[in-house]
Amino acid sequence: MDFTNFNVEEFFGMGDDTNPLLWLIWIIPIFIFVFYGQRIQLQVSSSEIKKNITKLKQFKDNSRQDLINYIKKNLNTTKDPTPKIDRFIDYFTIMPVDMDPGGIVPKVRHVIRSREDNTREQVKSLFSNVSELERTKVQTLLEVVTSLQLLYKIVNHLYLTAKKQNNYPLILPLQMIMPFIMEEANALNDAVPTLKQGQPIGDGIGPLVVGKMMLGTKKQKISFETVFTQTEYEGRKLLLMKAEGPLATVGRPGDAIESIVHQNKPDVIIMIDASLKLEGEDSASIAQGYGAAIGGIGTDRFQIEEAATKHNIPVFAIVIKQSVKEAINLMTKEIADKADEVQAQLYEMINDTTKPGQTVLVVGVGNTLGVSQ
Amino acid sequence: MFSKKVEKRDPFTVEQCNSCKKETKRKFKEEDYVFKETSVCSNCQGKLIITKIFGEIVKE
Repeated sequence: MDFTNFNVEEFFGMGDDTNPLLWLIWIIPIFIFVFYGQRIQLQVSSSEIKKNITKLKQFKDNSRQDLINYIKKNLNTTKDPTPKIDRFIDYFTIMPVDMDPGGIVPKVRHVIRSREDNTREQVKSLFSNVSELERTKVQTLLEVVTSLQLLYKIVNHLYLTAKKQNNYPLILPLQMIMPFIMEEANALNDAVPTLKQGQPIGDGIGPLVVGKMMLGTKKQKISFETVFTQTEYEGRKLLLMKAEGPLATVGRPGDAIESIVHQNKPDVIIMIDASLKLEGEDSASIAQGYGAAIGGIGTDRFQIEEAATKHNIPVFAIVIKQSVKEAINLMTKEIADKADEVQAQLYEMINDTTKPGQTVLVVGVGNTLGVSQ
Repeated sequence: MFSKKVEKRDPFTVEQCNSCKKETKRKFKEEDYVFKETSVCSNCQGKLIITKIFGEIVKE
């Protein structure tokens, strides 16, 4: 190609023999994009977000309706549960002031416990007679509906604010975070049928492993919705602990470990839990590590770390990697099939870290729905 | 072209006899839970215990 005879006037269409109409055709869009570019981008981004908001609204409405139908169809209600359910869904929690140097954790625990206790009593009051399993299922479903409602409200608020202010930069963070919000919302929405039927979820792999080891032993309650038993393995005393199955509960592992450590002074604590996998990691892969493997708001982990530090007890962890969706949905075959391998790794870890005559506390962390002991 | 395939998983229950260790897999029934004693083994009259409940991808 020959660039030596390049003519600026010809290139910009300003020569004598050019059509002014053609000149306008390509100069006008430049002006449009300079002055209205952000608004156009706002329109394009917001149409995608709007679609997701409609989806979030559907999830929220469907899960609410599913919960109400489930209660009406399967449980003996004293009166129409709809107004009370609608009130629960909008409940909020005000976290304690975080500038307190004296210790915020007990205050957070107090607020969370108060919420749990009150919700439990309110759920119980809906029925004339309800089993503990059904009560915990309704409570968990209520949490799912509340979470979906919260996601919808926050996303809708950010979207409407950006639209109202015609502010493109305001919608950018929302656009970036939207795929993650939708992943969680999809997982929550898909979890509803699993929870209604009382099937084990991916998070229940820890209780599944420990529950199997508890079979045939005498179980006792150690804290609220948490059971504990003793057994032996190659000369070591094994203290086994998990949430009380097959209820839809995680129990109170913080209180339970604190109490067991105080009474039995174990030499080692081993925690088995589900863990969120990183992108690229294989689902149902097993990993070992150090520290308290437990999720939640952090109050239980704090209690466990405090008790372990006070008595100088090493804490080891075995985790089973999975996605958010796998963690709160019906346990996959791949995860369920890993239970025996986790148990084998646990025994190997006990042999490696303790000597005969010592005591090991093994904790199965997670929601034990559909998993007994 | 870029749409994600939606995986549907069906729930299954695996029962194992506590004496002859024979395993059987069946569709999940309501009120099933892991480590529940369900019935008697047809082979040896041992106790059948649910050992696993999981979701398996449905092949269409």
